[in-house]
Amino acid sequence: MNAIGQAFELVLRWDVLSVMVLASAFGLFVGATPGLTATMAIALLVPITFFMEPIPAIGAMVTCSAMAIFAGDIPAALLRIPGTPASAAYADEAYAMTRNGQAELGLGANLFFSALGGLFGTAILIVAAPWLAEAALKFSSFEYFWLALLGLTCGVFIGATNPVKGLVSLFIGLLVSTVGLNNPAGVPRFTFGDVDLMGGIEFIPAMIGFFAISEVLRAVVADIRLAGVPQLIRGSLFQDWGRLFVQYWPQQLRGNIVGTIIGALPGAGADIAAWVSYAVSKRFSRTPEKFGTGHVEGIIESTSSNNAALGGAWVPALVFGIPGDSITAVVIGVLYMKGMNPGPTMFLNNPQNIYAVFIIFILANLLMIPFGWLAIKGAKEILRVPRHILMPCILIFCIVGAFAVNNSVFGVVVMLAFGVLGFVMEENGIPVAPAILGIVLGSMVEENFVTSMIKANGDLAAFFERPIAAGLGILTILVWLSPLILFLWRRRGSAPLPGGSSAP
Amino acid sequence: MRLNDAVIGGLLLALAVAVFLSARTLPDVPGQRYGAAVFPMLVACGLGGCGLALTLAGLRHWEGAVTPAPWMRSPAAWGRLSATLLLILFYIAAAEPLGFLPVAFVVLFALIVLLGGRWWVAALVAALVALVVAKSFGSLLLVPLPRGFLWL
Repeated sequence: MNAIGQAFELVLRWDVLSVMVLASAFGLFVGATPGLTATMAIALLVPITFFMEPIPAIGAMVTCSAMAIFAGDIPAALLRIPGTPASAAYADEAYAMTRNGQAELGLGANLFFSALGGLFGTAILIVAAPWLAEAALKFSSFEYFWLALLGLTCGVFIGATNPVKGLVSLFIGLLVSTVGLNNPAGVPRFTFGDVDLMGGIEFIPAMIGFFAISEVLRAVVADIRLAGVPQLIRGSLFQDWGRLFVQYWPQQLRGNIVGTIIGALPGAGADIAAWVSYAVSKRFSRTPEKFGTGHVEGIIESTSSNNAALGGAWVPALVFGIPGDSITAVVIGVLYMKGMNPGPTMFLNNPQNIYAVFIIFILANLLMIPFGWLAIKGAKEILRVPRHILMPCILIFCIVGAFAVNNSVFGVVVMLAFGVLGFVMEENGIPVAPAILGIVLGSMVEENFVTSMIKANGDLAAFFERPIAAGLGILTILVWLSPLILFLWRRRGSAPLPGGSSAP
Repeated sequence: MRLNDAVIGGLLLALAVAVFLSARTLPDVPGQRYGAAVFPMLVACGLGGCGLALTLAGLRHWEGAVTPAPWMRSPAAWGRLSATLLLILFYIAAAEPLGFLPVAFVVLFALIVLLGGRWWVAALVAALVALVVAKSFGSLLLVPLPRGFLWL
C-alpha cells in the first residue's frame, strides 16, 4: 500500500477526527478569549496530547492553533480587544467596521480569508517540505550547526524592538538547555547536586510557565474586567465572499505569500506576519487614506497572512527540526517525546506520517468554516465567561499539566519558576519566545557544534569548507552584522529611513 | 515593573561570570579536546556581552534603578500577586500529604474570591472544577494525582 493511502487511514479514524473536533472547540474558545494566546492554547493542550498517539496529538495541535489564530479576530472586531496577539495588527480597523454596522462583512472576511490563507500555507508546506528534505539529507553536523544558529539568530532579530534583549532571552534559554546530564561528556552540569535537575529541565513545565503562568500573573495584577458587551451577529457571514475574493485577490495572495515566508523564518510567527502584511497592504493600497476607518482591504491581507504563517512555520520544523514560531517550538518538543524526531529522515522512513500532517492541515482549515461560523454566532456567550473564574481554572489546569509530564511535583516547581521568570522578563521588555527557541534548539546546537569541533580538530575554518555550510554560515554572519550595516547605511544616506512598522 | 537596563545588565554580568567559572571545571569528552565545558562557556560569554551592552545603555539613560509600572502603585495588585504565588507554593507543599482534591479546591476557591468573585460562586466552581479535573486526569488519562491521607 502506498504512503498516501496509509496516511488517510491514519487520519480518517474516529478517534483522530473527534480529537480534532474537540481541539477546534478548545482553540476557538481560547483564541476568542482576550488574554489567552494561541501559544497558551497549545501549552495547555500539550499535557493532554502527552497521552495520545502521535497522529491524534498532531491533529489536536494543528487544529487548535489554526482555530485560535482565527478566533482572535472575533473579540478584535466586537470589542476592539484582540483575542490573540496575531489579531492586534487590525483590531482597530475591525472594530471600526463593526461600528460602521459592517460586523458581518468584517468577520465574514476574517473567516473566509483565514481559511484560505491556512490552505495556502498548507500548499506551500506540501510542495516545499519534501523538496527541502531531499537537500537536507546531505547535511552534516556543520550544516545543522549553522542552520540551528541561523534559526536562533532570526528568532532574535525579526520583530524584536530591542535585539539585545532578544539575545538575552535566547542566551537564558540556551543556558537552561545545558542543565542536566544530557551533554557531550555526560556529566552532571549545573545540577547543584539535585537529583531532579540531573534529567535536565523539562521542556513542557517550562513552557507552561512561560506562556500560561506568566499570563495568569499578568491578569492577576492587572485585574481587568472585560469592557463593553458585544452585540449579536445576525446577518449572513457568507454573502460577500464572492465579491471580496474577486475584488481583493491580489491583496489576499500577497498576504498569503508574506505570511508563509514570515512563518517559515524561525522565531517569527503569526503575530509578526499580521503586522507586516497590514503595513504592506497600506503601503501599496490605492486608497491608503481609508485605512483605519473600517476598510476591509488591510484586514483581508493580514488575516490571510497570520493563518498562512501557521503552515509556513511547519516547513523548517518538519524538515530540519527548527521551529518557525513558538507554536512549532512546542510541537517539536512533543514530536521528540513521541519518538517522531523531525528531520529529513522522517520523509524517507515514515512518509505516511508526513502525509498525515498534510491531511490534518487541510482538514483543519476546512473545519474552520463551519466551526468559525458557530463561534461567531456564539461570540456573545464566549466573551461573557468572567476572567476571575477563568484564570483560576487555567492555573489549576497548568498545575496538573506540569505534574502529569513526569508525575512529579518537581514539574510544578519548574512551572512556577519559569512563570515568575517569564513574568519578570516581559515586564522588563525581554521577550520570552527566543528563550523557548533556545531551550528547544540548545542541545541540537551544542551537539552539532561539539561534534563539528572534534571532527575539525578545533579548526574553525572547517565550518566553512562545505559549500552549503559556507553559504549558511555567511548568511548567519550577515544577519548578525545587519544592524551595523543598517547603521552605517543610515549615516551615509543621512536621509531618515521611512519608519518601519511598529513591532508588536 | 521596569528595572533600569543597567540593573538587569549588572545581574546578567554576575550570572555570566558565575556560569563561566563553574563551566570551566567541567570535563571534556574522554580523549578529546572538547566536551561539556565549551558550550556553556560560549553562552556565558554571550550573556556577559549582552549584560555589558545593557549596562552601558542603561547608564546613559539613568532615571533611577526602578521605574514602577502602573500596577505597582496599587498595594492590592501586590497582594493578589503574592497570594497567587503563595497558593501555587501551597499546592507544591500540600498536595502530597493532603491530596489533590482538597488542595485544588482551596487554591481555586481562594483565587476566585481574591479576584472578586462571590464566595458561593467560588465554592461551587471550585468544587466542580476540582472534581472534573481529578476525574478527567486521574481516571481517564491515568495520572496518579496525589491522593493524600483521606484517599479522596
